[in-house]
Amino acid sequence: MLKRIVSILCILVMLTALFVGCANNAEKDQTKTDKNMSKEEKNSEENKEPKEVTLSYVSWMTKGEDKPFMKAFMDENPNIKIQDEALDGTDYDKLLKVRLLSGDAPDVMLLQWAQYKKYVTEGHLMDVADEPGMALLAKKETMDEVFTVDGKKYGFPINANGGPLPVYYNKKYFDKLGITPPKTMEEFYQVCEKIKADGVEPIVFGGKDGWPTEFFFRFRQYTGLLDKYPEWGLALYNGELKPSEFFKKEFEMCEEFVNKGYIGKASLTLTWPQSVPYFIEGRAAMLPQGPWVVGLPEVAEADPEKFELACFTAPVDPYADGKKYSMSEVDRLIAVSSKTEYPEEAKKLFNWFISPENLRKYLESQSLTTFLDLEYNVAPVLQEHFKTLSSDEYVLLFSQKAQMPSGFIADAFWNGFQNILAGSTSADELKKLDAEFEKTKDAIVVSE
Amino acid sequence: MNSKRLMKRETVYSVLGIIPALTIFLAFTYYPLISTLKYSFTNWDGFSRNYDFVGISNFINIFKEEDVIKSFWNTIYFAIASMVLGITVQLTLAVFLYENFKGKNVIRAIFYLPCVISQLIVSLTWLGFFQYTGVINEALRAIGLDKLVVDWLGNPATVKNVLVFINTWQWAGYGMVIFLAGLNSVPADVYESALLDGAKGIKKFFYITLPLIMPSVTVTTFIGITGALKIFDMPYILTGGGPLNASLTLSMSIYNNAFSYERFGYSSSIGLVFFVFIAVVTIIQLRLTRRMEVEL
Repeated sequence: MLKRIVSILCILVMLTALFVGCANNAEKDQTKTDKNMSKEEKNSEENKEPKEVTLSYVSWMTKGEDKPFMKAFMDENPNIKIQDEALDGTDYDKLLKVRLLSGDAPDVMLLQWAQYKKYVTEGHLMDVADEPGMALLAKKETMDEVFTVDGKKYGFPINANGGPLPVYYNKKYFDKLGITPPKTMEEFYQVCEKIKADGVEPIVFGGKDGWPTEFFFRFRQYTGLLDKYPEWGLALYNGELKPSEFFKKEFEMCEEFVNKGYIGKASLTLTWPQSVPYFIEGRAAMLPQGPWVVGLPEVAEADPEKFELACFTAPVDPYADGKKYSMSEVDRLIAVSSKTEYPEEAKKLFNWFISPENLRKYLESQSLTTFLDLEYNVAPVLQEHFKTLSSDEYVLLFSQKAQMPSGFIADAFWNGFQNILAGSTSADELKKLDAEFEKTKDAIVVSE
Repeated sequence: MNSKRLMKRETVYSVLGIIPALTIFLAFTYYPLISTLKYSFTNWDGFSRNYDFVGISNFINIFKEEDVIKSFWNTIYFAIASMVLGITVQLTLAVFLYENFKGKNVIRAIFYLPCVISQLIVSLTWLGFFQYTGVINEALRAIGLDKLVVDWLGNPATVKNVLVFINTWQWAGYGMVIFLAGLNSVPADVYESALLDGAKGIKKFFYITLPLIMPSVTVTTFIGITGALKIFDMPYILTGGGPLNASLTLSMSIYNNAFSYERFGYSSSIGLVFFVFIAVVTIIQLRLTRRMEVEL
């Protein structure tokens, strides 16, 4: 008897589920019908009452950096609510890919440059070439070209990183030791020795995250081969060059820093947010990091009696022609999902974000930089650094014909530098780098 | 005749009753498994719509790749060490907390608590302890024992044992509860007879208690081995597989190949081989431990 009752209950549950499912479909069909309404009908509907919409916005700003910006948008557009979600930056590509593949694509998202062409090829991004906000990109021909795929554009570069990183230091500590910011590598080594003799770690990286170490070493000089191979990705892809040849000097320099005791043991297991207070507390004297450090609350809250933030450009050696060659990359780019249910609202956010007025606010509030023709104020701490990079002395190149998969950059480089911090040799890690490159070679997106 | 009709009707109802659960189980367990089998013979990158069949080359590559082989041995080390240390700790706790004393329930609850906490939280908490600048090293420095400072997570020699320690700590209470249930099921008269025959202390434990709680050993070993072989979250959060791949586990290797190197087909083949391996290991373990079980 009990079995019969249970069976009947199960069948009832199944039937209910079926009806509910059908009802949902009916609702969806209704939504579809709404979408098919004529413009006039839609306009009259909109005039009655603006439809309330929730957009999902995904970035890797885990410290809540973008929240005030999103709030400003919501204040201006009360019918659009933004669900601001931050994924871990270190695994951003992996996490976002899972979202896209599982049909849970965010309506608007920030992307890293390594993701752009792959996501375009697979049809995940919406063509935004005709959006009014793109006018700013169109003014910068070289960048505009980089973002064009088969005559269409699918994203907008918010900010860029280029050239050697700024190296932050505590001016009060440097003054105490009588140190002036180094301009050459020789001077840099002397500064490190002086700091080491004072019993302080010369440099700290948030090495657990991988990218801070990679940023410092990779954005340097590419073993003096960058002038010959400005399209280095393509050269690697075509086999003209091995990664172990191209990045030889960077790996060797990292090993030298470790062996000489310029990078302390803490760097291997510190995350990048942990490396900032470590530096501010004076446990390490120099922090090579991106320009965003200037806008961090930890810096603003530091005791002015003991700490005064300053920076110098990481010294690099000139090439044979006397110029200093370095690489530049788009850091954050904004894109709209091709699968969004609310294309109009998503594009509204996209255009609002990249309007010159708002983009300026965004860059200034987070102390970011752009290659676009936009006037904005650079934080006083970074002014000298950017002046140096924009001088004739520096040549900043943007490799665009072969887009490396994020796995190559993330796992191969990050692990390589982490392993050197853990005691491995540059020779071993360069060998591994070649092997890792072979693994990811099929995933490189090459454009003609 | 009536009973036959009744039986038939009951069968129909039973089949109808099981269909919803079976459908869900097949859809969410076997469909992905069959898809994995299909992808393991392809070069699918996990993202594109196109892929080619590559025969058994993915399976051959598994045995050639240094990282995968290293992650396999790391996983085996972790599973064996976690199982041996884990069962020892769990059984010891159960034996001590089986005794009657005031506050034993509170102590039992304290030991059980970590296993209801998410592994993410557990890992992040322990990260704060084991980092080079973490609580342990800072405490050692504070009391002037700088010489004892160890780079727990940055040294390939210590990192695996740190993971084993955290895993043992987290699951100690879980196994303890299973062993306590086993101890409760041992009839008191068996102990009384053993006492009359002169069995006491260690002898009593090894000749009476342990054989009688072997079903609990079977269950905890099974759960421990399968859990340890599949370990992912903890090393992923604590070390990311480093340093020098010393804490890279097979599950992490599968994940990295699928999502970092965009080799979903290859990653599926590792997953399948791993699945077969876990199945074989657990079958052997179940046979061995069941053979040691004693029926009263």
